[in-house]
Amino acid sequence: MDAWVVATGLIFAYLLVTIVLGVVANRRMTVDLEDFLLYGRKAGFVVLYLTVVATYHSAFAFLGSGGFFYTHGIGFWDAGSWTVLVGAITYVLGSRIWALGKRFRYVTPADMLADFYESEGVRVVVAVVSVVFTILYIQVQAQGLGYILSVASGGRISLELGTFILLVVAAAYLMAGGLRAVYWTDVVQGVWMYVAVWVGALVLAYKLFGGPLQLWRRVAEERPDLLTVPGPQGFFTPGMWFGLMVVLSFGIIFQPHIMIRYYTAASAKTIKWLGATTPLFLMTLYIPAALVGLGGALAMPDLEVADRIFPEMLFTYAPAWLTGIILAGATAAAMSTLDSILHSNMTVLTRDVYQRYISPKASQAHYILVGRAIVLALLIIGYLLSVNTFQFLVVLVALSGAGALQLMPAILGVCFPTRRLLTRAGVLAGIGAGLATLYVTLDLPGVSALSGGLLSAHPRGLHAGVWSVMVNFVVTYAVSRFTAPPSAQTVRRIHGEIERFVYGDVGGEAPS
Amino acid sequence: MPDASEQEYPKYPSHFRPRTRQGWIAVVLFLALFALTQPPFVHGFANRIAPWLLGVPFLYAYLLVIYFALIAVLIWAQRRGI
Repeated sequence: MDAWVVATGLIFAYLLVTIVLGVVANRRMTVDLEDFLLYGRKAGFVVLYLTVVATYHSAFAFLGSGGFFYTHGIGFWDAGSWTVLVGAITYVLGSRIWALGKRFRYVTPADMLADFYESEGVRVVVAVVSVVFTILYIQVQAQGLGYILSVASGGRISLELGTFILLVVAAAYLMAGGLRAVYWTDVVQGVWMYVAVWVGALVLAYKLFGGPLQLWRRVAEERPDLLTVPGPQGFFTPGMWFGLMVVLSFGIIFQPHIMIRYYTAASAKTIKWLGATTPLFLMTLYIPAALVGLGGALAMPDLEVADRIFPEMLFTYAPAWLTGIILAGATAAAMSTLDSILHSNMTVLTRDVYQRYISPKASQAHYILVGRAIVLALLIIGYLLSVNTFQFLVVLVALSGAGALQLMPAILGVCFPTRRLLTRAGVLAGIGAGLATLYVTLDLPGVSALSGGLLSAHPRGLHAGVWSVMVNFVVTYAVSRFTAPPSAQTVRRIHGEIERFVYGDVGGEAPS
Repeated sequence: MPDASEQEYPKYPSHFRPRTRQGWIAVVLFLALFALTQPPFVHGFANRIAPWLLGVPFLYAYLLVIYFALIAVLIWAQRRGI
């Protein structure tokens, strides 16, 4: 049987599994908005663990990480530092977000921030930042999916058709079963992607080099420039190493599709164990990625698009059945992120916009129906973004990684009581200043011309995300010194809950 | 109308400072180990291929060991209820 038939057939078999899970999830669902949006706040450790890791790792981790090792060498092992930090942030901050969500019935990140800062302006700004900076990931993931299906079929399924098929499947099981369907499919996707990367990398390492350790020796002999930093192209400078660690830990955590997951944990113990152990999955996924990228640099040194190294090596050196299983794993990595972003955007738009400003007193069934309609609209937008190339989108995608990072001072102000309170004016000014700094320090269109060439991307070698969040902190604290804080009652209610949760009843449950 | 005591701002000790000995140990240990994964350590003394450790180049093995040590600190903190 031809390799493309096996590869494409296995991907479609995988899609069938996700649809069946969506249908089963639909039968378990009740007509309850919290059940549809937040899994009824009952996610246990195994389900939450696999959905968080599958959501965090997207098509980029599966395809792009191999490409990074291929081009820039061992410097991408920086990924271990940001994935370990994700665990620590989840442990310390995620558990506090969970406690406040359970106590005050928050559904979105904007719920929490608007409640503490007593501001609808904060709600709107946070909702807009949440949606704008993640909706672009729909485009990135959808294009990745179309590419995978196109490669697997040997070009017989076009990029556009592949994108359409996979978007429809993801939207269908999300509309059918809500977050329960997303979580159940993420369990399958998380396991599949992890096994696929490890098996694929080990098979290639043994077949081409005699094993992983022999692969490392060959790299040292033939391409030693790949085994130190900043790498062959000088990419991983100290500033870039530090900046990527900040942006890809805090910046991802503060995106709504991750923050909403904190609200869904069944208990504080669940989320603390989640934080302590997620780095085991997240970090070790990059071990086989290094084997793929560095091995690929020796086996296929002249590849035009580095991100294609994994599928290209599979099609050249691996059996068809294995290629199919692994490309289905790549599909899983992209779909698990895509469905989560579709869900989080649906949640934000349903809760923070429709329920808040358009129809505040409708029935639960009505909101679920609206949520499904929003998914449909996002599906259409995602497809249009995926099959067209707009210059402004390229600009916005460059902004998106560091966009959610701008919520950092505001979130810390809620979750970490201190004597010096942040204010609504402070956090709004900080977010504005941070986004403006991000635009300038990424050297986006118009900046060079306006500055007469004085400004360049990532000034002084420090990542633009770090510049922007530093300015954000300074402005937030400066403006907060001279503006009115939230009321004493609100501070006592919310910071008091944090104080009680962390120190008053350690490890216990928040009262419901 | 809220009474006067409710209108006073509560004064909670900063949550950025641990309040227990074990909390301090966990925070200091995590931050110290994490600093070793960042510049200038990574771009300085750790930036070398030899000596080989565990059959892999030094920089790779160095970071791998510290990453697992950081995870161990998190698991220790959870088991201690910190």
